[in-house]
Amino acid sequence: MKKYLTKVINLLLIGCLCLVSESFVRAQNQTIYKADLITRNGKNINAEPVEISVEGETMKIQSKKKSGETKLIPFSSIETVDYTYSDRPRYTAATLSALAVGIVALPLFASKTKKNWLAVNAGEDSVLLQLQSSNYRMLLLTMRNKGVNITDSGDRDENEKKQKNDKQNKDKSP
Amino acid sequence: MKLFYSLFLLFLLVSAGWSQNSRDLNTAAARAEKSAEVIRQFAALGSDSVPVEYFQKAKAIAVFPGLTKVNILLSELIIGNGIVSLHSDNNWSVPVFLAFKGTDTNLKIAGKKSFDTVFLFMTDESIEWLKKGDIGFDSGSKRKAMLGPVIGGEGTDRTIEQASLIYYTFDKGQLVDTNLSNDTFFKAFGILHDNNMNKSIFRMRTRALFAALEESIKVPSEIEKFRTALIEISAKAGTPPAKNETIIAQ
Repeated sequence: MKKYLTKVINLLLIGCLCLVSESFVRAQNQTIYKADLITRNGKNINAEPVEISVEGETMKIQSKKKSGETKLIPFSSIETVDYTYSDRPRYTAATLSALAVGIVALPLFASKTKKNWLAVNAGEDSVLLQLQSSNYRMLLLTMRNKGVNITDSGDRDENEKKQKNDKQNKDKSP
Repeated sequence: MKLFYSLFLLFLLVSAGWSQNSRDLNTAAARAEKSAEVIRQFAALGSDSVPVEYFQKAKAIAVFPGLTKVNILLSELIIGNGIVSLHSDNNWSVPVFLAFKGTDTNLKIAGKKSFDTVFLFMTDESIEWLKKGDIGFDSGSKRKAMLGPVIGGEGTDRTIEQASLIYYTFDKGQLVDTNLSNDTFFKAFGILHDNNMNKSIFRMRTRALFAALEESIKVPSEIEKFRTALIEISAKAGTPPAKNETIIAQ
């Protein structure tokens, strides 16, 4: 019984070592950008967690689900990339924190959360990604350095306001 | 006997002062060296990249290597020291020592993180604030500090139009997006004069040092590393990267 247990523990240890070294090697070789792939299914909008990496002249979008797909988009096939962001107060998180820890969480009502969006226009391979805030600019810079036509369109809310104002001004003018 | 004691006391005082000065010089040299490393990481984003384009347009560059962010019970404190050099007509001024303090709220209960920051002072007004030691960015102020752009476009133009100060943050040499901007109520930071260090190295308080920058000031060679790095980057800026040049963003 003891021998059997030792063997199982050894096997588990070897397995853990393999997993750690595999992820270590991956981390050493390339930067992984975490994101959500936004897809539309009828009226529903789905956000599927993905990992983006740059492999030579290709952008690799790998699903984190076991059954998920891997999408390879060559930089040469990308026509344009449009970056936008939204910067809104985090009322939900603040409310939940206030319920959990009480008055201490009140300052959170004044804090904001930033969401970053990347629309990759590459014909049939076009994708919409919601990037994580920790290292999204590195991905933008990498794409620019690879010769991709990438534009910063700024704050979505500001853009919408501006469009509304422009429309109103147009309507007013004779 | 009295004379002996007096001389011994004088010797102690002089050696204590000398050792303090040499300690300060070592600290300052280490800060200049680390700052030079950070600015080289910044330049490695690409000599024809958007950040380096703004580097060339900046009125001053301040580097804070190893800013420490501490989180305790939803509150956040950021502290550290840095160095700044004013930029005009392709010349870089004598490096001046600065300090940094920032606060914020965060969903974290506890944590500690260290990162490097490069600040680009984009307006003449911001240089006046810097000289006066009046660089406070809080939610109430009209001054804006924003994460520096990495690509061009309408959003980038708006950022540059609004911000007096843009900044880039690095973690272990990689560009990261640590947000210091004063865009929420509890978020604030200040860039302060490091008078102790400037007095020890240049024998001048920071304000006086800024006023005397046009005159010739003796700079210890150990501190010149920062200015040397700035001059090198300026010379390369705008040219496409050489084939053997390392660009961080690969």
